[in-house]
Parts: sequence; structure tokens; C-alpha cells
Amino acid sequence: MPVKRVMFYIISYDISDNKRRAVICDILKDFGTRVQYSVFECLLTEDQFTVLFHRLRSEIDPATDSLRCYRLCQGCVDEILLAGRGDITTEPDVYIF
Amino acid sequence: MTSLYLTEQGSVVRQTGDRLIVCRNGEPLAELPLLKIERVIVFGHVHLTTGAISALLRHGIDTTFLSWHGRLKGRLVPLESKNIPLRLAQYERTRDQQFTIGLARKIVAAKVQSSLRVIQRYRRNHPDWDDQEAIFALEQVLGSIDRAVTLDSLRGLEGHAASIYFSSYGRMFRRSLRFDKRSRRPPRDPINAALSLGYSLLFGEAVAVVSSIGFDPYLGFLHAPDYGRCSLALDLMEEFRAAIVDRLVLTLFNNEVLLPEDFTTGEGVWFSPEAKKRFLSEYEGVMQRAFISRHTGHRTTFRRLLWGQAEHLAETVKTGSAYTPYVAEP
Repeated sequence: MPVKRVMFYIISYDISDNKRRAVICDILKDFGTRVQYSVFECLLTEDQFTVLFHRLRSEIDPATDSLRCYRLCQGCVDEILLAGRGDITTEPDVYIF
Repeated sequence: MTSLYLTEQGSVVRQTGDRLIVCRNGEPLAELPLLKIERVIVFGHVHLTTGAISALLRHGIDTTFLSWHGRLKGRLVPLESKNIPLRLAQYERTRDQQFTIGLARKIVAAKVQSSLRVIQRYRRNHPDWDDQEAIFALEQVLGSIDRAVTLDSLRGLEGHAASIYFSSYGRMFRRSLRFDKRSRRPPRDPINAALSLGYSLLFGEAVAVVSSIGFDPYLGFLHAPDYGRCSLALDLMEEFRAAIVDRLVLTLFNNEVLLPEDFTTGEGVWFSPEAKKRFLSEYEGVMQRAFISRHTGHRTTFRRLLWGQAEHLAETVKTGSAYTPYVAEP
């Protein structure tokens, strides 16, 4: 059972077309947590991120849309400051429903 | 990686995209990316749509179905290439009496030693408590294991050791709790109910681990083949029962994380739904907590140790090399 290192990614988008925006949002929901209207936080391995990035890139219109991915190191994750609503996304150990 | 336990009776799990949606009374409770889930454990009446089932199979997520009370009912198994050479070796080894008895002796010895260590650790932490008699009796059993020449006599020794151990184990609980011996189907007291659920969860994991390595889970060494019994998973589990479940149950009751009021008494004694969730989360905590194991000499978790031992067993079965069972940490 190999253990892969998970990194913290912040992905934000600005997409002009409603339909395309919905598609992008739907893809991102498969990979992470929505923290603001067009910002997701994703805890992913490098391989998972590569898959995600390629899928996102193939959906946008490079002439009008913009997509930004930031990768944070653990030290930077510890330094995140929050004000107002919401929490920093963490990797849950267990879900019980 | 994450385990998903589904205990809410009547809830529905569906799939959209690469996510699972858990709904209760038509209201979505949560949306979970399949990417994040490593195993799913379903208790009783939880409805999984066909879409959800195929998504679980597609992602290779290990899914186990238990009854509400925790009896293993079955697993979802993807069509993956199976390790036929390992199975063939396993079939051949089980016919080899010398090999079988040798391995079975090691498993029983490890189990008795683990029981001893549970007692010894408790004695260390509670200087006013002692059970010299049980320790002496278990050491005697340990000494006679090498002289057992048949599997039946070995199983007899194991049973004898278990009854000594459990009567000692029962005295480690606070006085308001009564526990004299193991009772199951149904469990007769809260401690037995908790042990049963813990063993079921561990058993489910052991079945999953031996199956995914490619073993035939039904054919074991110590445990006799029996219709519909996953004997090999039971064999693997013996090494871990005391270290994982017995210690967890003891801690939960003595620290009053579980109370007698958390159980309902009818035909048997059963967890309340809320207490069961608490137990599941504590069990996960134990399985995922990293510690330095004497067995491997480095940082690991019980879940990884379980995998490691199954792989070690596969190596032994294939090559005939020596097997070293896991023994509870002192």
C-alpha cells in the first residue's frame, strides 16, 4: 500500500460563458472543495493534479477565460489566514453517515 | 486515505460525475469525491444506486456490506486479474501437513503471546491489579504449542488460552461492567457487543486484504475449511485481534467513551446508532494512527501492518520461507 504525498492546491477561475463555467465547476467538485464562488481548494497528489489540470485546460476558451492554480507547501498551508466564513480544507480520515 | 461508513438506515447513495452523494429523506447530506475514498463499509439498509455501485467498481474502491449488527454479508469485487500462481501455491501448501502445522503453530503462538502482552501492559499501568495465575497458565500453553502435532490439538490449545485470557480480560473493566466470557450471536453484554463489532470490522478488512493480494480467502491453514467461511482471513486476523480490538474496547469502556447506557438489551445487547458511530470513528483512529512498531522497526499503522503481513504470508506460501507473525506491542 504505497503512500503518496498530497499537496494543497488553490484553483480559481474566471469564465465568461455560463455553460463552460458550470462544466469547470463540475470537474472541480470531483477533485476538491468549493471555498468561494469561483475558488476551490484541492488536496491532491501530483498525478491527480495533472489529470485535473489537463481536463480543465481542455474545457476553457483560452481567448476569454482564465484559470489559475497555486500549489502551497505545508509551511504555507500553516500560514493561511482566514477572516469570516469557512475553514481551510483538510483531508478527512473518515466519513461516517 | 479515507474510509466511508454508511450507517444511516434508509439513506440513499447515488453518483454524479466522479462523486458520491449521500441522501437522507431526499436531502443530500454530503458530496464526496470518489478520488478521496479508499474503502466503503455499508451497514444494513443503505441503498446504493447502480450508478454508485459501478462508480465504486470503476474506481476500485473496496466495498464491504455488513448487516446492521455487523455481520459480514459480502463484498463488491471488481473483475481484476487475479494472482493465479499464488492460489495454486496456496492450494498446494494446504495439502502439505508439515507446512500447515508449522504455520498454524506460529499463528497460535503469536496470538497467545499477544494476549499475554495485553495482560502485562494492563498490569504495568495498574500496579494494584495482578493476574499471576493467568500469566502463568498462558505461559504454560505457550510452552506446549511446539509439542502439538495435530491441528486439532493446536486448536484445542488456542481455545484453552482464549478462555484463560478472556476471564482475565474481563477483570480489567470497571466494576459496573460485567464480562465473564465471550458470547456472540447474540452478544450478551456491552463488552461482547463491542468486541463482536470490532472483530467484524477487522475481519472485513482481512478478507479484503487477502482477496486483493490474490489469495483464496476461503482456504486457511489454522482454521479448518468450512462452507462459506473465510478461513484464511480468520488466520490473518488472529495476529491482530488483541492488539487492535481488545485494547480498543478496553480503553473505550474504561475511559467512558462507551457507557452501558449506549446499548439496548433485547434478544442480545446492541449498540445504539449514535454509539456505533462513535465506535466506528475510534476504530478508524486506531487503524490510521501511526506508531513505531517493533515488528517492522519503523513508523507504520495497523492498516499497513495488516497489508504487510498478508504480503509476507504470500511470500511464505510461494517460496516456503519462514513466517514471522505480528505480536501485540508490549
